[in-house]
Amino acid sequence: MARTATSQAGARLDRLREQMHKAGFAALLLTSTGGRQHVLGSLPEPIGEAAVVVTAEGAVVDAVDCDLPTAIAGALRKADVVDGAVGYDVDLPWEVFCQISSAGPSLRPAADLVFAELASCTDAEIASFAAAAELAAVGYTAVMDHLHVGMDVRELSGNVDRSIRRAGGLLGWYPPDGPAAGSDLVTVRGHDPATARLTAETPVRYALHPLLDGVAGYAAATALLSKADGTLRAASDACAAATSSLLTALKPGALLRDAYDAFGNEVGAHLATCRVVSLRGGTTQALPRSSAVVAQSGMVLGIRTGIAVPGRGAVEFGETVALTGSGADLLTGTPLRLVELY
Amino acid sequence: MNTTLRYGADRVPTADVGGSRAMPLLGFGTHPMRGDQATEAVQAAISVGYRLVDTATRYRNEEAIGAALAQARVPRSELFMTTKMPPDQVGRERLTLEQSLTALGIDYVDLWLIHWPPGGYPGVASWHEFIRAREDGLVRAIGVSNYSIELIDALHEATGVYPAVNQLQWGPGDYDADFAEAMRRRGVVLSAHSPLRSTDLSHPVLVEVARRHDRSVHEIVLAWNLHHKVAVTVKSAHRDRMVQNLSAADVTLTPDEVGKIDELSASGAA
Repeated sequence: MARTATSQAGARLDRLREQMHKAGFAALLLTSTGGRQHVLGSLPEPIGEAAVVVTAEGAVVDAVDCDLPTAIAGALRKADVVDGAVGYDVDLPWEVFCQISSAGPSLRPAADLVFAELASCTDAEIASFAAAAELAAVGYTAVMDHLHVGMDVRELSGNVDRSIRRAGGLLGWYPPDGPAAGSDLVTVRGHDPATARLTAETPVRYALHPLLDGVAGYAAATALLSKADGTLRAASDACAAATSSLLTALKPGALLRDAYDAFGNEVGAHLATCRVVSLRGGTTQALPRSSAVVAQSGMVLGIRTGIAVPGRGAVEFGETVALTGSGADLLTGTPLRLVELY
Repeated sequence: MNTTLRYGADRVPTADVGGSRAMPLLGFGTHPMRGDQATEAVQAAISVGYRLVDTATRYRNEEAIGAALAQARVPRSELFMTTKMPPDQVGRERLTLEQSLTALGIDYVDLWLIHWPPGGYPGVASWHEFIRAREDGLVRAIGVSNYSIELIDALHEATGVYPAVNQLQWGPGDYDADFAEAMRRRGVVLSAHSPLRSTDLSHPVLVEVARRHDRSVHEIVLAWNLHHKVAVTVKSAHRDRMVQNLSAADVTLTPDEVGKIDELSASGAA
């Protein structure tokens, strides 16, 4: 069905169409949750797979089906981009451009365009991110004010939830991977799953996701309720050093994906994870490792890094950063070290 | 640390806490004042002779105090600024300190305290960060607040560094000679906040000592702290009360008077 974009989404659509015109494309096909929400505004999760087509002329249509290729074909047909099914390459990134020619539509990756669009913010939006980051700091203090061995993790979540809401935060939850789901302002890991209680041995990892005015704070920290042994300390030090390298690599003019390389070069043989995401539009969109997006002043990114420690959980860090002329400005000020309470 | 009574130009005795500036034992407390009230009170306090101003991140008045400092006619080098990191900022020590410095508009604080033991732990990891901040010149001295002897010893055992100061509620009603002696042996200067809170200000012993010196009971309690070389912070938004509190530095109690006041906590009468 054809949709009318919200006024907020309208401004974003205008910018998107500008990019489409510059690239010479007739239509943009969006299949990721972040991409669809970006152009349609807030929308409920579809039952099934969904695709949205934005045409250069102004139409915004979406289609839902039980499988993605059918949803894509339906959306393209509704948008009068093509009559009939089109091929769907599962290896393509989520977002693809649709270029129309006499031979029919051809698809080209557009993930970079969408990521750049989702990451590039106006001054007002950056101010909102900074405000959301302050809410993340409220959540941080709510965690650190109460941590103790034997604490029920649900109590911890409740404390954070109350503190952030009292400070004006809204509901929202962002899992590290995949589409948005759940409803909490903090994700806590590291407790004993049998008792839901915190222990002295396993690091408590928590990610805070306060929402404010459609933007998300994004902060993750790791605390240990005892003195760290050599293994955990080494993981913490390595993750901190690699994350610092990643942040240093976020310089205007450099490729954003260089941040992944900077992290990877520093992390050594550790079992590590690293994600750079856009946060705009109330959801996260990961930067593809093949991305050619160039870092620019005004981009706001979420950074999530971690090193697994076999048998001991993991050490994880997360930050919201705004790119300025001089590099990455850390908005949440989350500690890039294992916080040891002893 | 040496504590010396020095009734010189500013009349207020000081303690050596290891920084470049000796710590005045009678200072101006700012909790719970905020905004213009805090700015005006600190301006008045400095103008009547206070040289130590005590604040904390948790008081949420550092910016207001910074406004007062910006207008003060007393050089920064003659002021002693104390602030405190709340325990929920563990892990964000340097960030918290930088925020305090920015709000206060100064490039170092004279004394930085851990406001409470974080989660009841000694806070060794934070203490390492405090030591690093001192080494980096962002603070001149470091200490704690509301710490037991055991927690202080744990910090020393882990780092080899004792706090220079332990600030806690301390007055005649809280007096514990063993605790005071334990702090003294470790070179930790006791600092009293809320010195009047636990004290029965109408107690006959205090009233009689006050009458004998022609002073208020408030001044006698402050003078008693100074006699024990305990730093004390007092808060008042009223200029005349500020002056009166400061004048406690001129009161010299006799050993007999001090002994009688010491006994108030043991008798539970204070």
